[in-house]
Amino acid sequence: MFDCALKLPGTTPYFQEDFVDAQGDKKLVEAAKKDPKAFGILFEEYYPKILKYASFRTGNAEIARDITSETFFKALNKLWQFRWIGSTFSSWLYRIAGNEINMYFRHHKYEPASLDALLENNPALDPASKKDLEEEIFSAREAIEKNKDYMLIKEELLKLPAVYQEALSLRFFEDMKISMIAAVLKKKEGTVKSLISRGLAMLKKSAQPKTGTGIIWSESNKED
Amino acid sequence: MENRNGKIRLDIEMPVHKAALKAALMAAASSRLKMPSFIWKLAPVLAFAAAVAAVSLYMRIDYNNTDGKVNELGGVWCTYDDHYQGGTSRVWPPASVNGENNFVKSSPGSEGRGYAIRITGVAGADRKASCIGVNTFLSPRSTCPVCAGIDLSKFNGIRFKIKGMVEAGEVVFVFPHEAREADKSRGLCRSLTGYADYETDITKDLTPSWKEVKIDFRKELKQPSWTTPSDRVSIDTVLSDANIIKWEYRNGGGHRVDIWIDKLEFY
Repeated sequence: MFDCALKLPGTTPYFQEDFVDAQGDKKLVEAAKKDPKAFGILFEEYYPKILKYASFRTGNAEIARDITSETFFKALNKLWQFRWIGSTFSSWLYRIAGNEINMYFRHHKYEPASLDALLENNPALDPASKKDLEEEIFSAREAIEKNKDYMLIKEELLKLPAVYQEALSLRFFEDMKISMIAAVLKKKEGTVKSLISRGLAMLKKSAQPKTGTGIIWSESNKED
Repeated sequence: MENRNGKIRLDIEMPVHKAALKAALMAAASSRLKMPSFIWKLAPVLAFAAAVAAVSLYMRIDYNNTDGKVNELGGVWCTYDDHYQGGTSRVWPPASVNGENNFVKSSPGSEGRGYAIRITGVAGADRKASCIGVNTFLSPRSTCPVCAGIDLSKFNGIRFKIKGMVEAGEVVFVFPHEAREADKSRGLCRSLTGYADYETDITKDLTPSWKEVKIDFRKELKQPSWTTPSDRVSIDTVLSDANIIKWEYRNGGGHRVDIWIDKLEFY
């Protein structure tokens, strides 16, 4: 437990458990503005979530990886601007990722500004690791392409306007509550419900006859 | 990765990327923290200043996405001609005769949809200074008798799209300077320049297809040569309390003009 302890000058020690409480990441985010270690803890918690979100949205392992990198670099650079007003750190991070994903779809290519920073003089990337990095992408690509249910849904999902894609992905792939989706998209909860409802109707119409997988696209078993 | 309980799962892991990204982020975070602390203390102030500067870059007057007599700043659109001075110039939409506002927008706008400000008509041949025109007030309180202006001194100019046809005479953009009180004899806001207003000739910009016009307030607007010394005023004084702008067709010698204006903003 004490391995996770952080000590800032002039403060009492605080522990990782403190941050994963009902008050969310507030203490940790405030600490991360001054201490890289605190940012590292946030990174550990959110890296898998953002990578998963980007993978679902894009269906492209390489792009998802680049978007995840860029999201965290942008979060680090803008962290000092972040305020706990109408937004949680989590919703803010998803919003950054969502913007990057939308940028990728708009331009049909993705050139992350952070790529050089990631690859140059990186102590974690020796030649062997660089090879592992490539293999990792091949495996992820294979994993996506072999998932037939996802591939069919992805095909239909990508036909929807971006705002429906975002709302549906956050609701059904990320299992987010309506209030959280509203915070990510900066929209009213009623608008989010309507986006999900309309998006589902469009998706059900086009996707289910093709898939026949019985994938549950229903709001009935979801918590608000 | 599986389809469990009817839900799609996509469990992708990239441990090598994760480790490399974390190392790069930690290095970036450490180098940031080497900067003097006052930079970070000033950062919110600098960001606010930058945001204010960005917001100040332009202000929409009217993009004409909707119909009506009121622009996006809350000021009304009106047409005018010289009939009240006994002239024979006539504008459409018709100028007010008894205080009513007959203004209507025309369609389509510059992008083939929405609306535009359009005036057409004849600047009469019966007098030397014949005119027709259209003006718009810059706030809901800019009309007579309140005549309140807004501060435009932080803007460099105005830009708008224009198209039209003019056979003779000139089309000018006019920036009046008016007092915050009525000229009771005319029922209009009182001119502070004896009507020697800042203006610029835009006749050459009228072509059959839409064209963007940018007018730099400080470089292109001039008071007329007949301005008396007592009516001279700096452009910054005019901009600091601006209540109205006009597009005017003059000295047409009985010829017809057709002017369309859209996508108006201060920049």
